[in-house]
Amino acid sequence: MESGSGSLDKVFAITGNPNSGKTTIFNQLTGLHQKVANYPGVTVEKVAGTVRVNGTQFTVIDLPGTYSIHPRSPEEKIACEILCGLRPDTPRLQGVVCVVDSTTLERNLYLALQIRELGLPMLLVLNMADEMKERGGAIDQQQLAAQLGVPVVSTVGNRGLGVSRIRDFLARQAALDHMPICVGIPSGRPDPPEVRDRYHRARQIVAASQTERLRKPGLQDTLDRIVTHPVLGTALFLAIVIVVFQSIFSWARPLMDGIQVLFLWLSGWVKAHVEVPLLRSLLADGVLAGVGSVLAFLPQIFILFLFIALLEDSGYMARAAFLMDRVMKKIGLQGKSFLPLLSSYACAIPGVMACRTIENKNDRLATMMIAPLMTCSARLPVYTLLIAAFIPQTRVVGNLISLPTLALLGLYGLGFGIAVMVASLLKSSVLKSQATPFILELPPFRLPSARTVFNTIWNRCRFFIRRAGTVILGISLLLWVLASFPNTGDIHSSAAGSIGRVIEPVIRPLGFDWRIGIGLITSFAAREVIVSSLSTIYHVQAGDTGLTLVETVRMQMTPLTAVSLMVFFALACQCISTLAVVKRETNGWRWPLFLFAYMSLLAYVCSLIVYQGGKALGLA
Amino acid sequence: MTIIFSFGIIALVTKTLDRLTEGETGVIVGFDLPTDTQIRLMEMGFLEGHEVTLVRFAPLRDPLEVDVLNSRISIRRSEASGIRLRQFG
Ligand SMILES: Nc1nc2c(ncn2[C@@H]2O[C@H](COP(=O)(O)OP(=O)(O)O)[C@@H](O)[C@H]2O)c(=O)[nH]1
Repeated sequence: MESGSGSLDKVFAITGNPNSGKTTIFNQLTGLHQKVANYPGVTVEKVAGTVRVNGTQFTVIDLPGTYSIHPRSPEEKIACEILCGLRPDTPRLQGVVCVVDSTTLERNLYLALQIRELGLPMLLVLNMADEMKERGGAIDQQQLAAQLGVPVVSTVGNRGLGVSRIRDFLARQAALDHMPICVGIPSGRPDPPEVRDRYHRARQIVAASQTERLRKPGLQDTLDRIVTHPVLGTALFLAIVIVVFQSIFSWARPLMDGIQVLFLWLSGWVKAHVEVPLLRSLLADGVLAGVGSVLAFLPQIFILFLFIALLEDSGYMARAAFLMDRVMKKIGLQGKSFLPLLSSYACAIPGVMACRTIENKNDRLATMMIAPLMTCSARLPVYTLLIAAFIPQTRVVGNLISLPTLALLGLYGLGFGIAVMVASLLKSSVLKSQATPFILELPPFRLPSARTVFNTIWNRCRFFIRRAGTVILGISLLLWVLASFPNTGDIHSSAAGSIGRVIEPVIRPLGFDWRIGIGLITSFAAREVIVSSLSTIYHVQAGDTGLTLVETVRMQMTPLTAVSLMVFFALACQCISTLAVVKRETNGWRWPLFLFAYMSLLAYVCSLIVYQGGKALGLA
Repeated sequence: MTIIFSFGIIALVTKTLDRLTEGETGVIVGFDLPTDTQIRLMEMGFLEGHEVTLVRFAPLRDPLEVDVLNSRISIRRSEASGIRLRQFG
């Protein structure tokens, strides 16, 4: 190993129980210098970041939160392999930072003791120091360090207190010349005596180092009682869901309008100042129409991820799983399927990856197979466009909810309802399994830290923006070329027109014309691309009409077609990235192909029923 | 439910975790669960000799919220019924 002045190839890992504040500490250490490499082609497993200390840099990997490093679930296996230096894609570790929640020291020490047994240089971080103090607890750090044989620091993660001492540890370890070696590699499953021994040791350590015991938290109990109350809790759950959806529509509106106005203005500027007609059309109809129409949805995605991050970090999400377990069990799944499914409302990719926390293989597969039916944020642009075009802004149910919100809720409900049916079908046939234990920690309610929430949202939005700048820009350009050439002045005889007409017979029964057909094809790259595609096609076809996309769509589609199209989007698996991540997670083509086949069939049949049924009823 | 009399007056009652009422506490004495499940529970702090308190049932009486080692863990009735407790009755 070269002994350079500390560099990115010096790698550390952060471990800890879930809810110990691990992510918060990681964010404090790395700031925005993070790489969430979780998309096909890059390593799925790790969130890695760069830490700078006095001009030198190291890499820190945020391992999945676990209670034990005995490899049982795929997540624990990854954590264990990285810790032991067994993964070819990750360099051996220079040291480990183990974050523990000081308010549940004994339980957290179980993992800390396991990690210490690996023999790597280790730092114990006593996080949640403020909460412990508030509840009258105190820990003798020196005594704890002596008992454990590793250095100890105490921190308040969300306020960044004590984090500099973690940096000092990293710098100190990185300065060492030799590469530490992991000595104890855990086997498949610990036996009961082993667990007992470790807990026995943990109890001794706590007895020796905890100088004041903690009082029971009073406020927590009250909150917990309300949130899990049969009536109040359920009402709160529904209220939260409704508030999330309502705000996606009303709060995001001004921002979205702003972005649209900006792009209209840019487009107008291009039209006025670019002389060459072809270039003018390329910029205005290809680039700006395509990218602008998708970027306009950034505010909605921002709000959705904001809510998910808040619910998760505050500790509410676990209560939701607690409330939902019984219901999930009915359809053959479990409370733990709830989080992957909820994440899938943002995006199926993290959702599918979150399935790793489900130990039972069949439960995991069943959850993965229905995750893409949850209404992901990429569907929102499509829904928003069509709803805005065809559903009037009337208020219903005593002025409480607007009709568009109701329509949106209906679409979310459709995806969910079908998912429930698919899950029970799968679980009662090919994926039948024994009921699995459901063990879930209900963490204390905590004020989410602005920084962690912001980081989560930033990582998601960055991904979305990057996609708008690459995939969506590329497709918009390609489409513009296809729609503009051969240049006869009529899009119908262009290359895109020809392709569209080839597939038109297949989709005609669903009420879709060739332009929607092109949109459908392009949306395989990403669902929201259909919005930019339609925008580009209508633009090229009609030239600049001065109309917004919503107004254009209103003229070009019938309401029944719009409904059929929304149903199609609700059910079809138009997302190559999702299929790729399912292939990765299941190690083969079988499940992604099955996923694609069943969802496409479902979408086709349901749209067919909607359109033909609607026509038969004279709705046209 | 087994009742063991000791000292004649104080009765030691053993029952399973799912039979506690909300707010009641017991000490774990053993498990009747598949080994895998037992070990997972043990790693979360459900160990012989440890105190557990049934905090509440979920609305449909399943799962349960349990206090063990100062943290709150949710488990299903099916697992809770495999955890044997000792109580001073
Ligand atoms: N009071 C307090 N809250 C904290 C502290 N560290 C983190 N939190 C909060 O605890 C919650 C869970 O933290 P997170 O980092 O997401 O936990 P993880 O599951 O271990 O990654 C968040 O709402 C944080 O804001 C701390 O030291 N004190």
